[in-house]
Amino acid sequence: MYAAVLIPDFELQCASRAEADLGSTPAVLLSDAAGSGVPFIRQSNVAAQCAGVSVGMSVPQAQARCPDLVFRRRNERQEAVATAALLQAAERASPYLENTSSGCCTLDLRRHGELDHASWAWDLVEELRLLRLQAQVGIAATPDASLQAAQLARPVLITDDSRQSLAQLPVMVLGPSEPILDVLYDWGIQRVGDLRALDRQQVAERLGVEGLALWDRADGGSFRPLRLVRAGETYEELTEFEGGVDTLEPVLFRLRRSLEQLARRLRADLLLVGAIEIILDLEDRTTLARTIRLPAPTCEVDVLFRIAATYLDTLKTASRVNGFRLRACPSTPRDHQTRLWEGSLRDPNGFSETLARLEGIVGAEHVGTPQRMPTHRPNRFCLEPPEFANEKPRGKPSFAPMIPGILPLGLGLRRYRPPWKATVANADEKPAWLQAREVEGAIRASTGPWRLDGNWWDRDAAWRWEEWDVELARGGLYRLANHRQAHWWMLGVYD
Amino acid sequence: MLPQSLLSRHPEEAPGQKIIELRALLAQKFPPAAEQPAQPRRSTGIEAFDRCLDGGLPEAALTEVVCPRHGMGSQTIIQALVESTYVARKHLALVDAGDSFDPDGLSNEQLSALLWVRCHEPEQAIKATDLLCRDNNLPLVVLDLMMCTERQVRAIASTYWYRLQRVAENNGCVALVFTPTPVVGSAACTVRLTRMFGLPALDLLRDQLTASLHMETVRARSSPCFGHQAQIASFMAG
Repeated sequence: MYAAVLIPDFELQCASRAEADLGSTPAVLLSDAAGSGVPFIRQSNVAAQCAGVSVGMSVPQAQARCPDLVFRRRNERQEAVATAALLQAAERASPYLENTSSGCCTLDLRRHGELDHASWAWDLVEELRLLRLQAQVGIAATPDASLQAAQLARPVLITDDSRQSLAQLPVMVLGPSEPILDVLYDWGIQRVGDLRALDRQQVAERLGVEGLALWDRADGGSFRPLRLVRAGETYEELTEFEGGVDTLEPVLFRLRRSLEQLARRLRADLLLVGAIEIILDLEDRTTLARTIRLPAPTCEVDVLFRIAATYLDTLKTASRVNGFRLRACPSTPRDHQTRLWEGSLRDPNGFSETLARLEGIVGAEHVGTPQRMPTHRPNRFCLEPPEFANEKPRGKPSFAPMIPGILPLGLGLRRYRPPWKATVANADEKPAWLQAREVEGAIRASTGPWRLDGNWWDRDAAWRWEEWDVELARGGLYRLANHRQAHWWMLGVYD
Repeated sequence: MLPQSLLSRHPEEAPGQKIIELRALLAQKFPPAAEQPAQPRRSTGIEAFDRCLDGGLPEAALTEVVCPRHGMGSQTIIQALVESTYVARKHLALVDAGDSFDPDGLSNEQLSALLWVRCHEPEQAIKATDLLCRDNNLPLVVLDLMMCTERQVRAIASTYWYRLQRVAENNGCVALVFTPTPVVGSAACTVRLTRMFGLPALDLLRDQLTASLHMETVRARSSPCFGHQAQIASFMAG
């Protein structure tokens, strides 16, 4: 058996997919006529058809019949997203999958004898409905017959005898070219059964090869091989705003819905969200992208929403937001077993959210785990995102004993960032008096100079200075730096 | 209201006896704090510090370390805390109000146990500490206000400290605050560093330094009683 999954009016459904309340509103898809460029109605939903709007009408004609009619244009990016969702949903039943046409795929179910076709088809329709796609599923003995059954299905049709079931379908579902269709209408052939009632050879003599193919299709079709494709592993949802938005509320509203759909798709594939990529399309034609990695992969929409909303809450854009794309990077559940004495985070995702809030307060470049750079130049470090949730087992700490600055020696230094400019008076080639901001006084004792230099092979990056540790007569230990025997700086205070 | 047995005594009875009985009754009704179970402590891994704190930092409470001048070892304590946190396979958050922490004193492995929040003003540090205490993922949150001036530290509203105490109490968080002057009225324990180190201290190992820290306990409260005091003070402060 073969199954065809069909999204009727696929382009219109895609164009209005992101809009919650458009299901019951009369809506049509506009397309420009080939020669004149005048828009006409290409597809219409059920509500529009009930209001008397039909395919082929011009815009004024349609508006005259239905003043509340909503017009939409084709959205190819949304169609790509919906196609990916459709193929992923269908592939769960069978890997023998063909992307037959826009909004339609065909599956070979012959190797799945144990599959309950009816319940699978109904589950698939429900799953696609939750992804905001109204689908029809037809199951028949041949690929062509299953496609015809899908067109007849409301929303599921399983037929063993394709000929009888499909005889009532309009002949247009066989996909004839316009001249052939005109001829068939002239002959009074309206339905598939009418065409099949004609003699095959006579049809071939009058309508040629195409007519013969049509007759074969009307007769139930042949066992044509499927052109197999693989559903991609891209989990993406797209949202666009008409005219752009400059407040957070509409973005958050759509964001939650997109996350729900992504989480649903991933959960169905037994996967979790490992990272979320948010790409904002701005009005000035620039994009703003940010990938948020989740310490603990999850499909819980509340958690995902909180993390994404925290990021957006702290974000300021140069112009209005036209739309956003949301990509979920799939991840398998963690199989990490924490050790008995290992201090793991209680709520890794909550911690990630707190980090995002901290970044909002002090800036992303001011929060993290410090890591010293591989240089002996002091005060060279970078801040890395903390990896507390996926931490490697800790070993014995290692020190580089030849580098004085990192030995666990002496009082800790509190650095002034940036260093304070200082005035130092020397006596016997040693600092004897110090003045810098509110610190001033005679120096009782000093050690140094500690000569430091590096990158001597690179004129631009070369650095060199002398450091002194000094103790003031009235108390206080400071680290000073003398640059080129000219400028003095106060680097920090020992504490 | 006093019980009838106390009110209906003969007027000639010695007033001292009444007071003794009243005290006995109050002791029976409201056992003193000393008799209540000791507040759980979390060892810092720094022997001198733990000794002064009666076993370690009190859990679900604030601890204040007052360091009136630089050179008394507050940064050394922070570095030792990072080191001991790494050894204990835990994590530590350092909210650095003056952006003065120097990672050069520790190895990259030890630093991997640290979340460093580099602030540039006390308000940022206060918000960050509040968030981290509420988050309750890290067992120890250190707020370092040592690079702030006394005026800046005193400008922090006292209600903030009571609010932070409540957050720590509710979440079981341990918060340690380094201040140049005592301001944390809601601290369960306040200790003061009293010894200034001189130039020879720069040649001592960190273990030797932490062993020679001089500190005195300024105030120590037991948490069960203090929780109510904090509530009342918070209520009074509006």
